[in-house]
Amino acid sequence: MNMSVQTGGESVTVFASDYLNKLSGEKIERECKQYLNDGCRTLEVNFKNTEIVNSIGISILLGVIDAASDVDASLIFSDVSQHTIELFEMLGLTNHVILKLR
Amino acid sequence: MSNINLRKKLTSVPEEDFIGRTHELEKLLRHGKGKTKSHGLLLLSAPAIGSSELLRQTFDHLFFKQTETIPLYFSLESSDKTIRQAASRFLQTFLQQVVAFRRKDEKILDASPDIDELAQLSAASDGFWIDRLIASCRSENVANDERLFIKNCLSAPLYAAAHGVEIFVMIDNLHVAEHLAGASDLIEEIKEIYSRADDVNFVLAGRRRFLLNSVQTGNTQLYETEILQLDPLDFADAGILAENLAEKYKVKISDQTRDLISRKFLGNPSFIRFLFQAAKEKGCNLENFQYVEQIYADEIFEGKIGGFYDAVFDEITPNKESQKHIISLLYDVLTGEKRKSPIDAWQARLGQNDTDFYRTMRLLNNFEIIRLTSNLVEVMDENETLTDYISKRFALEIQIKPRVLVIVEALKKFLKRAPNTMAKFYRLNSAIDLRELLGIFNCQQIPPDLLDYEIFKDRHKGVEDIEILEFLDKSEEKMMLPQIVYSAPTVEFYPPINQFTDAQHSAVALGFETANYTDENEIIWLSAEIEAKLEATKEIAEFWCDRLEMVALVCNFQKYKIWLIAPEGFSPEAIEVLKVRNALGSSRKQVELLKKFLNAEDAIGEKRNPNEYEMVVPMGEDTELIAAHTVEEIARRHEFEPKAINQIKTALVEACINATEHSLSPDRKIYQKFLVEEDKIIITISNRGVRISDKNPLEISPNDERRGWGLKLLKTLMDEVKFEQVDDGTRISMTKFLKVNEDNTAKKIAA
Repeated sequence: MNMSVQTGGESVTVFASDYLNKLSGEKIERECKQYLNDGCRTLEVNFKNTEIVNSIGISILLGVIDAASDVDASLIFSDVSQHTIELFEMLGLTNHVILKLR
Repeated sequence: MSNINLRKKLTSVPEEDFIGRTHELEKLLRHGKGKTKSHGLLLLSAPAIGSSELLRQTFDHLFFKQTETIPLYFSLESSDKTIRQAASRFLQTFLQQVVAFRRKDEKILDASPDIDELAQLSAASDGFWIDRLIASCRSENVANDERLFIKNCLSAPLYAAAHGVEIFVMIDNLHVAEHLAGASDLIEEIKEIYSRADDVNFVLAGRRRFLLNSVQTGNTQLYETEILQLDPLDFADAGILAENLAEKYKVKISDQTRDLISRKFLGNPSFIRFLFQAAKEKGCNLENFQYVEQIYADEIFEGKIGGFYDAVFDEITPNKESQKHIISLLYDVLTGEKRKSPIDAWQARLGQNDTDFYRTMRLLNNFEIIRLTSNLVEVMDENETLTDYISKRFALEIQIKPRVLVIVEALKKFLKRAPNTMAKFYRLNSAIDLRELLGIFNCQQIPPDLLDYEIFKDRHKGVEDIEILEFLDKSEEKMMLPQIVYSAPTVEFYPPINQFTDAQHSAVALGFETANYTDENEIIWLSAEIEAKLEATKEIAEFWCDRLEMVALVCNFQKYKIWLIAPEGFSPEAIEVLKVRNALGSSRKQVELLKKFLNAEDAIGEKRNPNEYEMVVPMGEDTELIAAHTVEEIARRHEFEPKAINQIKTALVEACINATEHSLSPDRKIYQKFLVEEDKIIITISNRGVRISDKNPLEISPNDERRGWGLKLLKTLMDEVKFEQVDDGTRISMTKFLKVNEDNTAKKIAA
């Protein structure tokens, strides 16, 4: 499944694909950075379609977190499965992002 | 002085290559420490099965562990020539091993110190009794009292024990005693001495057919000894040995050739080793049947396997003409219609006097070349290697065919036989093993649904096993199984039935209808597993009832029950035939359920693991997702919790990514095996290429804190992760237990 985007004013929701790996992670990163550059200050990455996340995908999400932090934008990871939250916890992502459980 | 670690001294096989003998080794070690019921133990084995190696491993364990028990390993050698020499060497070996043990100096075992030197080297605490022992033996020697000298030498461990020394005596190759000259009977002396050895644990080892008879006959009988029967390696262990040797000697094999080698040699570790040594020496691989059979042919004609049998025949009779006569007789029996010949005919053809003839026959029997039953001689034709050797010698020495021609003919025969060997094995493996099944019948009450196909078909056809078993548990309708006291393959009762079935597919069981042992209660069950693609027809049922009734007639069985098993049960017409013949007919499914109902699945045959899955995926293109979805399906099928399934999937994905990113694999493939056991799933991921242990650590965990998380995730998500040592590439084995220890996982996450 491909990544999709929903926009509304300063708020943008980027939908992650079913498998968050290097390629799909980089797509998310590119999109998110683009919207942040365009002035978006509330960025949501929605994981409702995401079944599996790998470590490379997670490492790329850290780049998104950094980019949002640099411009004081708020970043939300939404519809995250319990298992993915545990992975984020293991790798220390949860300190830098707002998480909304699926 | 040496460092005392567990290492090899007397053994010729490294511990890691000593396969399939854990149970036997533990038993011997327990026995050595006096933790078994009896002081004495008989270790019985067929030739070349590895009993000497087992005893030497036992010696090394005890020697290097340095517990209170001092091990003594003594092997009779035909080079001893006389019993006196053997006894003298026994004393020297005993003192040498005691002194080496006490001084913790294995180098003493390599030297050849004489008795006086050993006395000087002995520990102060042993000096007194060793000096007295030596003096005593010397005085008997000087007095030229041979019997007393032999007794004194052989009693040395008892003498030491009387002085508080804990000795474990292992005397090996006792069958060699037959070749030693002297006025005494060595076996009688040993039995007489050790029958009164209340404070010395001992093992007597040798060829099974010689030893059991020797110790249980004669003036002194060691009835109180325990018996440890050393069998050939089972199929799985023989396969592991083949894999280990392949790795050790850098000889390539395939799964198919590994199985062929295991089967071909019937688990004989010596022959398997010889084959791999020959392949290594010739620089050949054993990747296909042709290569295996070529090396095997070389081994039979001019290799160690042929050499092994040459030595056996030289021991039976060094006279080459007599050997030719024996080979000729053996070949005639092998190729004759009856496969047996009377012993009188052998004596007439061999032309030996009574003493020599019975010695020859005894040795042929002890070396398991022949089987002697009721004055009939059979060749041990289940041993293909032996029959190939006999055929070779017959062709070369009696038919005097050109060597090249004989080799070519043999090779063709071996090649044609290889697939048949495996097919026979597959059939054997899939057989129910009626003999074992009948052997567990013990007056149990069972629902007739389990034996009567008509009832089963009516009530349970198309129903899940679990539902059937629930029904059967509640069923009040019962029939009683007989109590079987003896069961054997039908071919042993009536050999002509061999044309239609084999030892695994038909059995005769003798027993009683109830636990009252009266003539009226005697019953014989005649059973056969028959082939039929659909429900067996009336003709098939009639054919098998006729055959088994013939067995009953020939064997004079008065009261019997015929039990036929067909894969898909029996047609209505066949059931009518069975009723008329008072026979039982069951389907294979019924037998499987019967085993479950009797809780006999573990007791019958080897426990097979049907829950093993394998797949190979190419690297890249997100193929790890295919693997993840596969393992998800497997884990779900085996009732893992959703959380555990997610953890397994993620770990698998990480392992695949690791293989793809770091291996530089030449074939770009990831090999995956999923083994589900009762309480866990074991996932093995392997790939060819650069070994993970050879990688620069920065390549795996780069100096970027946002990468290199894969291995951390593996270790956190799975309960056990092992990186196995392989010559090429990486193999990771990951285990997840079915009941996840939540606390443990939580701790790992927190860490």
